[in-house]
Amino acid sequence: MELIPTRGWGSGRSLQRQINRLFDGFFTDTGFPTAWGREAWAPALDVAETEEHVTVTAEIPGIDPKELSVTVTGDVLTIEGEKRSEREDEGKSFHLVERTYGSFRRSISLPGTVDPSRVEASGKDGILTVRLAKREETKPKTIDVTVS
Amino acid sequence: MVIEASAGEATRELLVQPPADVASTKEGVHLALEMPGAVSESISVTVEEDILTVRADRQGLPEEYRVLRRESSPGAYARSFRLSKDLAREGLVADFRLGVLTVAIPRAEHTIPRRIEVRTDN
Repeated sequence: MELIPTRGWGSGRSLQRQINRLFDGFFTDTGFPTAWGREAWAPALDVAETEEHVTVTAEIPGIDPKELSVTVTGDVLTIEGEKRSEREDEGKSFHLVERTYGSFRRSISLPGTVDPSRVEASGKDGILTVRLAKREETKPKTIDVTVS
Repeated sequence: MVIEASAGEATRELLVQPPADVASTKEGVHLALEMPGAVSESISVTVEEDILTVRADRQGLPEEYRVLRRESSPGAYARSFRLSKDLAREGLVADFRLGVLTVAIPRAEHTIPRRIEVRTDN
């Protein structure tokens, strides 16, 4: 009963994540080091912005977003939680286990443009979205040029 | 038993194979695929001959967003599995919850032991 799955793009995910961390400029990831075992699994984080907001999205399949802890301390956003297997393992024999489980904690430095007191977090279809409003004075403003 | 088939079609579309857990019980096989951010209306689970295929589109960022950092793999989800002969091709039940798609594949009728009643002259 040996299963050798053929894996394509998906299997490079955690390597890609490590490479992205090496190339971090703007954001610093302050997660625990792997040696402690805490970072055995951590959700992938994406960051995007508009003129009004910065959003941080985390892939959290199988986790109820209400059980996560999302905190902003100073300019650091921390997401903490645990992924558990959903079902009892009664009479089950596993042929393939690719999903990773366990508790995680990831922190990310927020850019200076956000107002840490205006944060909203919501979850849908395995994605947690944390939306931070930008501070008024950092939003782009058009300046009228008068010509005399 | 469910055996992985290769990803199949070589298209230019970027595809991501969702991580899977495959377990069997006496009722059948239970498949769980992690597909966070899948557009639920686009999820398709199809069985053709021996192959079970799961596909889904990914939710995209709205136009006005500029990406500052990307760790998740972009691309639609797609993965195929080969179903062994002892599994049914019908009666599969699929459920998508919290970004995880579970598919329950029952055992094929003919493999379930059936007791046949013996008529006698009593």
